[in-house]
Amino acid sequence: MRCSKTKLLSTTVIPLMVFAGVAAGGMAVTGQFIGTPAYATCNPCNPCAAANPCNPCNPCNPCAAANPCNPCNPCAAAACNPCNPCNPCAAACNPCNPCAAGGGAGSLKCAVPRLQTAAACNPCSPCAAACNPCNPCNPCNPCAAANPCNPCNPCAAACNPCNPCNPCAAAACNPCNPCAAANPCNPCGACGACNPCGASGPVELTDAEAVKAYDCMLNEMRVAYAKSDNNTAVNYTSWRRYSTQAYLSATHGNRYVQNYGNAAAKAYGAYEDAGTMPAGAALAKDSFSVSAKGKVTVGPLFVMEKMPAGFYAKSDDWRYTMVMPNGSIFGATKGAGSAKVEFCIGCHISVAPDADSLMFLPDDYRVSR
Amino acid sequence: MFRARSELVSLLCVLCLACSVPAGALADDETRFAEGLEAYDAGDFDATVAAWRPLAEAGHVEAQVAVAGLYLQGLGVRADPAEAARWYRTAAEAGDAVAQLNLGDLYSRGLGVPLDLVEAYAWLTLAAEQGNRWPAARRDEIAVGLSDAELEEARKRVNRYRSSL
Repeated sequence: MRCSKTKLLSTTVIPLMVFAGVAAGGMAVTGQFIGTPAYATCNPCNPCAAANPCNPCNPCNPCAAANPCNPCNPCAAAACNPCNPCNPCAAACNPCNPCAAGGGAGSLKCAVPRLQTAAACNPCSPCAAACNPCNPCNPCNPCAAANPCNPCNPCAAACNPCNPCNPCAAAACNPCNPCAAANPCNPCGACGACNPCGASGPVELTDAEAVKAYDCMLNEMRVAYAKSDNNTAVNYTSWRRYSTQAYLSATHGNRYVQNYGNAAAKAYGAYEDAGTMPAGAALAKDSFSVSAKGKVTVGPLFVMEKMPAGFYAKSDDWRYTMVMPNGSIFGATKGAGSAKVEFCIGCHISVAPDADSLMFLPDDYRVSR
Repeated sequence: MFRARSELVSLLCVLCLACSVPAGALADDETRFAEGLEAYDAGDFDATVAAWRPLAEAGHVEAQVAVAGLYLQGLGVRADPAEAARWYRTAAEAGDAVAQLNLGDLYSRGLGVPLDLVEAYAWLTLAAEQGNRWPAARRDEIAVGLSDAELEEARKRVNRYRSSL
């Protein structure tokens, strides 16, 4: 009886407690939970805690101290944080692990699955085979070997341009194409992360992926920009949006952006016919970047505000501001540190010399007038 | 008496240091920082790191905050929340409000530093004292979960950190 009780404890209760600890840690990480209820069960004055040698909070329990996910461990929330480098599980299952989500931080929940899969299957990834037993590229995966069209099979689609299963065989971007491989700056490099130039090229999402990523990132962007305490950064999402969805902006670092304008900027909706904006008009672009491995990261908020005539002829009286994802503000033209955003003026003037420095979005993504 | 004297010595050291830095060097730093910002804007994070990290290491507070952001997001460098926290701490101790609020935020999430709501409260308070609403709101959220003793400890730390800024 005692034996079965012990078994029940070890197979049910302890895992449940550990699970609770992981859940508490996760909640703390996402910011949805900032209390520390786990500490309550650790109260050494609790007679139950002291009496139970299997209590994970009992200091006499040799496992207690060793378990980084023990909810009573004061470091548990941090240790169970999947991004905590001290987490012994981090290497295998950590989405922040460079072998997993694709290296680096960024939004874990908003990663682009298609790009993650492509990156994980990249035969150049040193992590592909080793880290993930479920990775279709892992040679230990019986499915990998059996599928002649598995892109990770070195003899199959990806590396054999003549393989009929390879839908990209004919494409110039096929990384196995000897012409592509020979040219380290092949503009198709984004198709193959083996290309040293590939990583810096723009990563293109489908419209559906861009919509999904933006919707997923919107709250994270708002929270990030709000750290600046800048009124535009706090309020821009209540303005009219002039883009139907997030689109790739080559002039803003190949980030995905959306265009917002305040009431005074309503003429922006006339696009090339907008004319000169009145003082008080303000335009904002929020942004996120996508890595070749699917990592999605908050980018800056780009703001331009029309100031009264005579403010600064060189900028067509626009004041440019960059709000960084950590709340830093760079800019504002003619304000503190204005020299830092002089490049905004140069770029806008050169791209739109006859359009009051206004840049317009691609036709396909404009809201109807 | 001793403290007043040491503060005077510190002030004189700062003044001497400021006088010994040529104006041209400061201008160069700002130019270098702007180059990094332009590279960041263009999505060239390797160039961003190349411009900002030496500045951060030389004590440029704005660059320290910017580099911390790069480490947190893994842009141009391998994501390293602990390194981000280290840079935020350096700038926070120099009195930068953005660094203080981000350091407090990291402590409140146990990201790159141990989860420590008392420490989070302290740094968010210092940032809030500079007039920013975000850290004030975040601090007040955290305060709800702190005991009286923890709040007392947090306030002591605020005073201690404030006096060393």
